[in-house]
Amino acid sequence: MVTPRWTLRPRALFAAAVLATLSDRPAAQAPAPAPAPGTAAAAASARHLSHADLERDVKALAAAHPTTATLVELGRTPGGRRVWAIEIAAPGSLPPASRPGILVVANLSPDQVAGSTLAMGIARALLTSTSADVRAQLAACVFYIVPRVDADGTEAVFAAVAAPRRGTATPIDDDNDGRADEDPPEDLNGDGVITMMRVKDPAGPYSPSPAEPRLMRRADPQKGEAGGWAVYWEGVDSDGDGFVNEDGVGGVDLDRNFPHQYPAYTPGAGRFMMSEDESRILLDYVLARRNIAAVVTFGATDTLVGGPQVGGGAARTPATLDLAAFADDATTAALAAGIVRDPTPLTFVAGGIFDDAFDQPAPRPPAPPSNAIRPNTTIDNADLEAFKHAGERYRAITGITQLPPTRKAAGAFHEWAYFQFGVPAFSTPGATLPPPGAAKEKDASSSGKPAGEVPSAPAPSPAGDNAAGGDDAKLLAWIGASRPDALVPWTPFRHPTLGEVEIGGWRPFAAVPPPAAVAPLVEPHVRFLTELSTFVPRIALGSLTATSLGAGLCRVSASVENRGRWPTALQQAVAARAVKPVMVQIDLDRTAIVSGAARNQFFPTLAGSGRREKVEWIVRAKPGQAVTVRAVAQKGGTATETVRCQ
Amino acid sequence: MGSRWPWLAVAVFTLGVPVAAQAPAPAPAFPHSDPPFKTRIDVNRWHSYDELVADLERLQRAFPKFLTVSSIGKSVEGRDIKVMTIANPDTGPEAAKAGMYIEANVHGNEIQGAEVCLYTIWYLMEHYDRLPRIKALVDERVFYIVPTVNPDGREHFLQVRSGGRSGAKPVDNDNDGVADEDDVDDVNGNGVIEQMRRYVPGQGTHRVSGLDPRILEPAPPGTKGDYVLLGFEGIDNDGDGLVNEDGPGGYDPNRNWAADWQPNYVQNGSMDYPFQLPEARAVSRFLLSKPNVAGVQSYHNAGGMILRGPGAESQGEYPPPDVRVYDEMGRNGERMLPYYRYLVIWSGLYTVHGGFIDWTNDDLGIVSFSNELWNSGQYFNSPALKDEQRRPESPITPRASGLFFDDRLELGGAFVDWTPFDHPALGRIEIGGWRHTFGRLPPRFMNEELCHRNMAFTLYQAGEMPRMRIEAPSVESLGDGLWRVRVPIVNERLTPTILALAERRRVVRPDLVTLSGATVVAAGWVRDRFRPGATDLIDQKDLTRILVRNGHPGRATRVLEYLVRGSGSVTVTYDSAKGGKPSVTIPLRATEPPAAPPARAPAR
Repeated sequence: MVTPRWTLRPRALFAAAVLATLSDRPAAQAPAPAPAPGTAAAAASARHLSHADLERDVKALAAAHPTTATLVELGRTPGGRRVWAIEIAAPGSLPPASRPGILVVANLSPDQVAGSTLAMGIARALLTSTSADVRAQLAACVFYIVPRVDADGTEAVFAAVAAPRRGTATPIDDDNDGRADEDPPEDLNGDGVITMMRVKDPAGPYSPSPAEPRLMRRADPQKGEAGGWAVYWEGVDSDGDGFVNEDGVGGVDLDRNFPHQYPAYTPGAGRFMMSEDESRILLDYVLARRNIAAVVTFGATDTLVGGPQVGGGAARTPATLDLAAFADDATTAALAAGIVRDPTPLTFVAGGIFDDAFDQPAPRPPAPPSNAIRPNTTIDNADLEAFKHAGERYRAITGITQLPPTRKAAGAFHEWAYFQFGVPAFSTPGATLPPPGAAKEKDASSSGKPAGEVPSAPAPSPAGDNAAGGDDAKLLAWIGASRPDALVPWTPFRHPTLGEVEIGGWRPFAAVPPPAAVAPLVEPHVRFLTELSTFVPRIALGSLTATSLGAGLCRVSASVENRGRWPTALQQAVAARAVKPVMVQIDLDRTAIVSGAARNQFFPTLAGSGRREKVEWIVRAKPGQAVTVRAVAQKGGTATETVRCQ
Repeated sequence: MGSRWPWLAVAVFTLGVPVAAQAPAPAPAFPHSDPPFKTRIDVNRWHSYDELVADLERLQRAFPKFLTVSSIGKSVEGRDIKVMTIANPDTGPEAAKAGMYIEANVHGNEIQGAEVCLYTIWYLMEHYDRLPRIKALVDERVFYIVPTVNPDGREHFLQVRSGGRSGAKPVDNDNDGVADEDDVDDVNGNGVIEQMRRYVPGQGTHRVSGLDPRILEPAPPGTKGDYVLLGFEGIDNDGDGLVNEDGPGGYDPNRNWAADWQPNYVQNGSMDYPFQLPEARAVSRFLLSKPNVAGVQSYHNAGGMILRGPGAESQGEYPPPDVRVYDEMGRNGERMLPYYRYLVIWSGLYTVHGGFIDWTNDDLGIVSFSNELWNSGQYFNSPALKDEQRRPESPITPRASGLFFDDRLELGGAFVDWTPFDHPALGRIEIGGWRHTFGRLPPRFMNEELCHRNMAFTLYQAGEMPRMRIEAPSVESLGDGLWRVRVPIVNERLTPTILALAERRRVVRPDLVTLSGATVVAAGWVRDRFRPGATDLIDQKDLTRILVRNGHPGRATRVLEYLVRGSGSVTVTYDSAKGGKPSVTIPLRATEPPAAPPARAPAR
């Protein structure tokens, strides 16, 4: 019954979570210009928006723009917080619910809090814009903006003591010991942030990195290296189980809880797919708005800067923190304790050898091969162009060409939106650290380059495997200049049980861009979303005629076309039956239709840029009688024309 | 005995406390006649939803001590989803007893499971005082019984109309922007939804059988028949030229569960995401609130099957220890349920993604079966009749047997003769055929046997749920206030407290062994309780709360050895989520070795 205290299996856990979560504390580190009250710059204050701030802002925004903004409550989180959407549409020829919709979703996890600031900035800019392009699109489309989904978890960013938070505040029994959240980290040295502890320990597999002694790396026994250090989250063993901080507060990363490629039974994914109230209220909101024709998520994975890779973006820069993964060893070790190994029965017993092999039932015949079909997991070739083109435009408009730290998508919302809801769906962090162009000016011209050629992004490696210092070194190189306080210096501390330790390491939310870094990104994102909204399918009826044939009969002829750039349904949407076929309907009962098309004629999809289909009916109609034809595209609006039988 | 086993006097078991007296059972009229039952339920007729609820409430009034009716949520149309809890309040709290969850009718047209549920409740109550094994089950276990998970679908099936698997959430099946606008209709007003056919001499796909003019059979390959089938009785309600193309609902409520859920294009009828349906959500919340549930039965029809997961090959077979548990129960089930076969869903039936019992096994760690009630082989259920059915001239060949059975045994209750009808859209047609209750449902007079045999299988499963006991501990003084305390921990039933898959996926909390009253110096599992030998020391820091992540196997005894320092007594509790929470208080004074075996009578 030896319990392994250390495992060589790197724990991707959510070590990642801490990563970006760059707290905006201390505010002084985020030199924002003094915001002018009531202007867009108000959003660019030194703090991201707490739930109370965000709620105040969305209400004020809706109140200030009663004709164009509607505030909708999606539902409540387990913590009782409301999740909000701002729906933005100007008066136009169609009611907003019949127009193509653009959905923006942000802040699905606490470390993506900057996305909520960006989304709020976008909402404000759309409502106040004087641009003719924007105003035209507000009348033609509807924008649905959900600035924050993880309303409970994100409050951690604003806590008195900033602590890394992996997702929602829903209690999760990380070490499966029958108690949830019972051993969270503590701010032992009272510096206002939860960081890590490192301590000399002959059994510890880690050592300070030679190139950057503020970082730790896993010693490689193959090379004769010894570790000598252990790494923990800052705090004490609150539940007295011998493991330090192995079960912190929360939670579920909502962007891993959706039902496409759901990462079942992995830390942070939730108990099962769609287990979280927040996930459910978001999908219920979307499913009640089938006119949504495109989705943009500001999240932890990327399809716009790096390109529409399989899985929603190769993590070309590290998305896990070595130090956090090392500290998570406590959870791994705790989970390994408590297995009872029942002794196998003796094969030799005085008095005889028992062999029950002859008593076994006959083996069952092999099962027939399964005829099960599998879900699609790659973007359909026919749809790829729409994704590539949107990415090119994103890079060109925003100037963001370097892939920020991202992770692979699994159970992500935007993947559900493409593979199951059937619309072009994108994800990117949106706000980046450092800001676009700051790190490598020479790359500014590479906006059209596909992902594989993004120059600055070093390939990721499993946490700690890189002898040069691992992924933490890459992250430090990436954000170090913009966030000099990202690494808290190691300082000695006398720990009640571990003795002399050092406390330091990554500051919680260390890679979150401060509001000041988000503010300049609002305008280009508004331009991008405005342009994106011009790509949506647009159904139209051309050349509707009705010619009398005598004998009370009339030939009604209509052509239906899609004047948008995108098809009325992507190929994946057709395959997944996710988007209704285009319906062309004549307003006559079937008994009045003598021949030709059915009353409701369907086309699975109409390609974009003016592709047409013709529909003809022979109907019983007197000369001069009005006949109305209606074309309905779920994602492309409705067109209605009336003609008189000539 | 008391002097030899002093600990017995203070041993406390949470289970098995004597039951408080209740109203005495009615006396039989004669010593060997059966006493009358306290209440009755009909198992030979199909209950409407309101009648089901009325019966549940009537049973509760008759047996108020054990029965509680409550609602776990509402259906799409606002009907309460009722659950009957059967528990003896005198034998400990619900959470400390293994729970058996039995549900039925998640598919709207698979209704007879509700009658099995009513029968089960009734039988357990009426036989509590008659059969000691029933008394033990009710005292040691808790039953949660949901007679209909899909009351809307049941109502739709049992009202005049026909109906399929779906519930009542509107789905726009024909993509015209309007949902559920063209259901079947009783156009001839006889209260039944039948088939429609048209006479097309020499051009049809079907012909009248020579066996019986009522039988319509497919025309043999290469020939033409005189009839075409036009589907269920109905009209083109929405005037789009199609008949009955958009009825109520249009999904499969048993594909909306979160384990291996797949979207519609992979798994038809699964809806937009798992637990989107309020019925599925209500059941999921109920089960998440009852971690003591260790057994699940979800009744379906038909075909005569005892099904277990996985529903899809890609999920992979269960670990061997779990398969052994399922196999033993399933094979005994085959012996209890003639004409039923024990099968794995994907290999024995068809691939199912997002099915209920996959979720309860995979995500909740519960041993789960789904019985497909009724096999048509039971119509003529003797070897002699089976032989005769193979003879072409017999009136009970498979094709003719239904009508023979209906004529002679059901006395014409199931077939509606074809009659001419002038249809507004289809012209001169005929309407007739089997009632929708025929085929999936057993003949009513055979339903009591169906109820009893299937109930017996669930009671067998409930009996084999884990049940933890602590046997006579031994105490030995090691001097200096140090004691060796050995605690035998037993699960005498087949099912482990934690399935192997559940342990691997960490979906069930570990078993916990707690000790209070003394300081634990060391603890370990005894390798061989009958021989001297080593002890596997437990490498956990907190030995007053020992985790057992892989649970306790079925039909097994483990001996836990504590070295404790103290005086007085210690209390040891084995706290399992699914196998109860027995506790024992052990005085710290030396016990004597067990007695010699009793002298055996010489063999004759």
